[in-house]
Amino acid sequence: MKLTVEHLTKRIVGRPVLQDVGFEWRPGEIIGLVGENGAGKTTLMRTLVNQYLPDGGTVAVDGRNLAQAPGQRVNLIYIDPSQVFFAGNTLAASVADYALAYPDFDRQRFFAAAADYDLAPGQRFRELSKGYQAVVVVLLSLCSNAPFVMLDEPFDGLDLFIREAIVSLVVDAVADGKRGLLIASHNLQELDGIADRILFLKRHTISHDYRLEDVREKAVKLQLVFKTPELPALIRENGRILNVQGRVVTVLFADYTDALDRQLRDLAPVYMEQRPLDLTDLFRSEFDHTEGGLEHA
Amino acid sequence: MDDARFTHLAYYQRLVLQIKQQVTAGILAPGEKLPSVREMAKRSQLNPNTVAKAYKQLEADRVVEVRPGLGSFIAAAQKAPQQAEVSALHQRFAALMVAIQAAGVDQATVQQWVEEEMGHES
Repeated sequence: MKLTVEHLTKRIVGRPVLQDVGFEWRPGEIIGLVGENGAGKTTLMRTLVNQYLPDGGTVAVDGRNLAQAPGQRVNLIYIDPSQVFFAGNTLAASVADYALAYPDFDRQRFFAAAADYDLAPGQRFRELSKGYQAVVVVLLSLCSNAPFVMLDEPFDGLDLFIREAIVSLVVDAVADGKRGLLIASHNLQELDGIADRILFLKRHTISHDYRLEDVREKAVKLQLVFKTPELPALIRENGRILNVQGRVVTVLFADYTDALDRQLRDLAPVYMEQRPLDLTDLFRSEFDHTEGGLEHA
Repeated sequence: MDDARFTHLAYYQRLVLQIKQQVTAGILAPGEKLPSVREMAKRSQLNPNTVAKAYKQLEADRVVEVRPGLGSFIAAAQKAPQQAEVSALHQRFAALMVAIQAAGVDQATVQQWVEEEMGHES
């Protein structure tokens, strides 16, 4: 099974929010959708489930365009956490509603998992704390048994206990390869270790599609000091300068090969030490409003 | 459990090292069953694909053996290391020693490092 998004475009009050968005998504995959606040993450999710009508482009499951085959929509679920229609309803009533829309909804699993968090079927969504509301949204989404599940900022502002609970639910849900998740977050760190891929949404479109484990395997962050006051050209050509403090430069090499390692050592740096790699370093350019790195002091 | 020395590695590589450490330290004994991929993913809060990749690597390194339908188990301690693996490791060690000497680290320090890293086996 495969979900394909092609050339998706959405304008809101004349302003482009999504332009030519395209990606593929398969069950078993956790995709992180990362972008600054206002980048269009929520708009993309709303457009994928037809809550917003797209101005152009297609969403297809196994080649079947959802606009022409609306029955295929049961393969996708998105519960907009900022605008739930069921806030005043009991959990039991919400489950009944979702079971109508999703025939494969697993009620047993929902209530068993809810009981793990001391949530009773008679409780109303509105009365729950923010953290437990987040758990309920994730549980409803996963128990729908839709193969493509979208979660919008599921960790935002939650304490560690709830965060771990949600990560465990997500990990459990993809482990058998039957479900895929698209998780939107403004914070890349939140998806570290969890996402297979990261899609960056920037300037209304997907600017990059990275596999995080590959990126981590190749990238190296070094602190270097050279004898010469000016920085060797090799550094600028192969790396990104993150920080300069006096003679100490911190450089990120996105593709650190053995050959590059030898070339660097041939330059005989006075000091050379590997630093822990921080994902935000790696993707700093994705967040920068102004392009171009720091100048060497 | 997350070793600060390994934070520059990919998550699957970290998990491989972590399990190897637990084997050499005797925390995991030969014949012991590793948690399922799903269970380990939940425990370590990692993507199941990452855990599966680590398990595959551990199998390739003969640290664990997969018994079909039963799961992954810690392999019996190796009597003699594989020749190919030894020469590959030797090469990496030689390259590292060049860097160590170029940096001016003396032999006593290196010996101390070796004892620190391997000491728990004696």
